[in-house]
Amino acid sequence: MKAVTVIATLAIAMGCTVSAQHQTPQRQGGGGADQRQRAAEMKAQMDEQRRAYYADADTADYGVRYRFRYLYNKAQNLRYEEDRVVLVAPDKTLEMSYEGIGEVRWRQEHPDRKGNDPSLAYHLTPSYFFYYPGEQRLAATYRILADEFEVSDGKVENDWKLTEETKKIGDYQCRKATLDKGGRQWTAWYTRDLQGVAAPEDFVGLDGVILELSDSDNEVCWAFNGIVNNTDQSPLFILFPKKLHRRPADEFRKIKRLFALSADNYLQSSGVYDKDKAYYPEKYRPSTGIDALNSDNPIRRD
Amino acid sequence: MNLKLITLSVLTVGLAATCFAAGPSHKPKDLYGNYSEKVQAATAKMHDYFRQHPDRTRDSLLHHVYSQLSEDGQVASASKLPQRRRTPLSGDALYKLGRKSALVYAGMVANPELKMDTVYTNASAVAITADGICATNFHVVADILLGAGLDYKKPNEMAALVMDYDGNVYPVEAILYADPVNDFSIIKVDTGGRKLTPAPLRSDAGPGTQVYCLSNPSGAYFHLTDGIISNCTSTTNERNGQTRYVCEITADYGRGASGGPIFDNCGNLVGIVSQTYSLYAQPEQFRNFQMAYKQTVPAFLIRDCFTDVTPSRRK
Repeated sequence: MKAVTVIATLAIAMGCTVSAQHQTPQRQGGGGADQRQRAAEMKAQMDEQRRAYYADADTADYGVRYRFRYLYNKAQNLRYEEDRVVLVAPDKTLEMSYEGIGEVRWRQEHPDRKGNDPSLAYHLTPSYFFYYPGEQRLAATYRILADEFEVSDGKVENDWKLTEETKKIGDYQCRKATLDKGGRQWTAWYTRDLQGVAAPEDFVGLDGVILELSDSDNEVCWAFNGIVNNTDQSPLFILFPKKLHRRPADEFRKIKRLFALSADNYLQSSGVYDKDKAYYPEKYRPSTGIDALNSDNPIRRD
Repeated sequence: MNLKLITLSVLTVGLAATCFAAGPSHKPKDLYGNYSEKVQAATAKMHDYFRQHPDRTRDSLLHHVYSQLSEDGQVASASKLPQRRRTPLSGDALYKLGRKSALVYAGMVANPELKMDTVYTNASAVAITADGICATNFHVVADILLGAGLDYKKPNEMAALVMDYDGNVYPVEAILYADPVNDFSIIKVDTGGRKLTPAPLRSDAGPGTQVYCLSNPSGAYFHLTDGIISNCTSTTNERNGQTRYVCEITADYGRGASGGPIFDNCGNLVGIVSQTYSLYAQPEQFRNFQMAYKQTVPAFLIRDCFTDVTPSRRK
């Protein structure tokens, strides 16, 4: 079922560009009524699979949405933007791309409108950072199609320097903290007006919710972009992957890059969509994410 | 007397040289290759190979493919590449020369129901070095690379291989580099001690250059077409900064030609087949077909993989 959806999407995306390799002919669809019935059945089946997928998931109290901005290619002055979110629960947080949540909510709020949510950057990096404040444990994972990979899992301690400097971001009173990490000097503005802790990626360890984080060269920034409420129609699930693949770091770097750079028609013709037809939640579009960038300015300089 | 002897000797040597240059004469039927027979024979040859090398299966290729894959695009020393050819060739001479480097890309699949294995051909490739380094498209080997990334093997797939004009088969033993943006990959095949005939690379072919495409479109093996380079373009995707280089040609090709060599009139490789892009007067309905752009991978991208200095275009 998922494969059918993917094939249909890809067929549209491919347009009339075809590789010069042999292709297997696709069957043509049937009549309109049949198609509508099939679509309804598919949706019901997907809803059921979605409920089963999230059966053991925790639910966040709220989310902090950021607009991530990154000057990734200094030579060509090319910038990247992605919507990210930290989902906050009392004992854990999850930092991830916001695009999937945002798309679902926009469709719910605008059922009759065509087009896309104009507030989204439409870049998606399928990286996930699970943080457990009690243990200071950070587990980073990465999703390729339905497969989840372990990137790292361990204790993270950042040597934040707290200051007395304050400023307001939105309605929230923030304090400034600084950190030397990965060859950059970072400034964070965090608040205690919101419950729990939250931080982009692995910039954890402050006693509050970071609303803005940027480096001293103004090349990398997570800017506060609103609070995301947990709703019945669109719950903010936190679900640690049930099964994780482990690959050597150098191999995984190559895998990630190839998938990020591969056009959808290459993925389709390779047959990898046939591997796992089970439901998986957020859209998979790594070719729009940070791992596809031709960067001359890495975020981590060390 | 001496003058007569010298004259006779010169004439004899001249005649011999002329005969040598013309090459051995062929019977008309020799021109008609029975390629289906060669493809069928490839299955038996692959069985022989597996008997001699039981450890070199597709599983072993999938298992090692990422450890052998280059990240910076450097696969071998430039000293392995043959010198560029300078002599213009006639069409038939070019065909005879080019077919030594042109390859059929194939897979081998098991059919448990029929209890038989079959080599099936689906693309093309070209020899770049004598010791087995070849070029083809990324999309030709994407099933191996992307499948290996997710521990996924297409059902019943047994091997990937290339076959030369004489019907010799060379199993793929490694993928040395892959560039999904420009749709090419550098692969290594097991030559079993044989030497391939590598095609010299020419990086500076521009629009107007006469070209020949020698590929395997849809079962038409070692099929030669001609044309010119019609355009050379580079496009940088502003969303990710990746630059794609395309060499468009007018020589015909179709599915099955992927990875096939594009030669200049001296027999140098100026590119490999990648894809076609069809232009319609009513594109929304795919109606009123007007022309097809033949988009190929420029040879300089392949040449860069053999430069001993890291190319500046890759980060």
